[in-house]
Amino acid sequence: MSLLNRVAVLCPVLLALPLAAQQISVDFPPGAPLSVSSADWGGSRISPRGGALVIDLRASLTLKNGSSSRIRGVTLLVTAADLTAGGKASVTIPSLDIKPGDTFPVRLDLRLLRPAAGFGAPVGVTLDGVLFDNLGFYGPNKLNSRRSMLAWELEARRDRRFFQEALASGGPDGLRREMVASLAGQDAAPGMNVQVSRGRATAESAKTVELALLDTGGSPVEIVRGTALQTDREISFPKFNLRNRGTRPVRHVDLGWFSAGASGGTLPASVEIAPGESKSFEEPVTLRFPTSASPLSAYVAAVEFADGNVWVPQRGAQGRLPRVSPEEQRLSDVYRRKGLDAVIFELKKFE
Amino acid sequence: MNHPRREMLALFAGGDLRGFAKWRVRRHAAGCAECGVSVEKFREARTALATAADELPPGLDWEPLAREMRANIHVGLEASEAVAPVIARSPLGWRAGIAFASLAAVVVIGWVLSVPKLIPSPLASVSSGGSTIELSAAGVEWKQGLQGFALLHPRANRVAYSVDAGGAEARFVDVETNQVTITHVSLE
Repeated sequence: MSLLNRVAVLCPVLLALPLAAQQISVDFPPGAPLSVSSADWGGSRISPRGGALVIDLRASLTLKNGSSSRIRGVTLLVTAADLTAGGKASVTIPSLDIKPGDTFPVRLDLRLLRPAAGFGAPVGVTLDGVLFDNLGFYGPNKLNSRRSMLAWELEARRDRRFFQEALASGGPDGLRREMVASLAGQDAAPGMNVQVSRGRATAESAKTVELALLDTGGSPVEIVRGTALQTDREISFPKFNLRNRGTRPVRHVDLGWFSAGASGGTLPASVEIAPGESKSFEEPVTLRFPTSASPLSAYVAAVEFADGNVWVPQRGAQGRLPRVSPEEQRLSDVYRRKGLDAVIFELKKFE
Repeated sequence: MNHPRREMLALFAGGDLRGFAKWRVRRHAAGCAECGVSVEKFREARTALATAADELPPGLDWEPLAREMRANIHVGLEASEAVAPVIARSPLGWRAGIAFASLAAVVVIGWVLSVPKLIPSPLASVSSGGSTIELSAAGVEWKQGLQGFALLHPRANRVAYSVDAGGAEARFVDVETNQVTITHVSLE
């Protein structure tokens, strides 16, 4: 522990800012379409707690679009190698509309817990991917952020189109109805209350149960059958039989799940399935619920084809999907905080 | 005249005294030339130490020096105890013992309660091996022993959570930037 670090423990207020700045390293690759215009560390602080140091890093970065295309999404990779032993973190901002030459803010709120014996290596922040208006992508893509950002952008276009049609057909009242229905649906979603563990042994008393399968219209991949082992509070080792009913080879399927007791999650399945072919996929995880496990429902949330294109579900006749997209979450939040006119402005911005 | 103890003068010189004790030492040092000089010497020594610390050569390993200094302090304390006159037991000794025990209990309880936790009450968790990711109203936390890392969302009104086989995600609208932001922490 250096002398400076020792003093920092005693004088957290005076030295927090410069030391906080040393705790994070923002480094974008040369030639990247995004650059850091400015960085502000105001509000960062270091405080000793027990035998450890809690380091709160409040970073406000201003990024500049140096490309000739509009930017639709950005993923930053955050690594703390000495803290997370191979674990990774990311901050993604989808649903952007950044013109060439424009700047936009990105907030990073990190909290690090380190032994008081030393600060260790700084947290690294770098670019994992940038998605453009033409769905082109730049970046090392270490987190498969291309697939995620592409799916979110396609969902955003789908949802803006849905709300634009509601406005066109029903006027402001029609759009308001959809916004209220969206907020009500988000409020009604069950809270997240589940423990997921990998590779857990299953009790002998577990029985095989069928999963409820939801057809998200037009999916190129069909879940033919879904089963899992279930005890009173646990659902383990979900197993799916997937069939490619489309004409294009598939390399990845995002399976969504939800139950009455938890708002849900995804089971990413990296399986290559040729057109007409069926494959089984099993995830060695256990979901543990605080009360009796409710039946699990599963659906196809996204499909990535071998050529890199992505499919996302379309809104059915009732307009609702198992999970609200980031764009719908953003638009409904704009409605709640700023009113209908602000939503109409946002919809027209992307026309 | 009753002079303040030397450690009180040293604490006063370093600005580490508070309240009544500070007022009393300042008042005394202002009227006592001997203690005033002592305070000045402590201040000079402090400045010299700070300057010397700034000039420590790069690559100097502080730990051995610190260990040596701690060892010297302990030797000094033991030596002073060995030569110290025997003091008659004070009738307040048992009260001091109780006070000391109470203080120790407060310190221990405080230490236990402050066992570092980055975010409160998890809503969900994902674990594998010895590592766990927890989702809470404050953020997504990766934690292992005395080390941890969390992505927080302090400016979010509504947060949508999701877990997958190897990580956890929080999705929210930042009320300052109006951007929808997705934070994800994975075990691998």
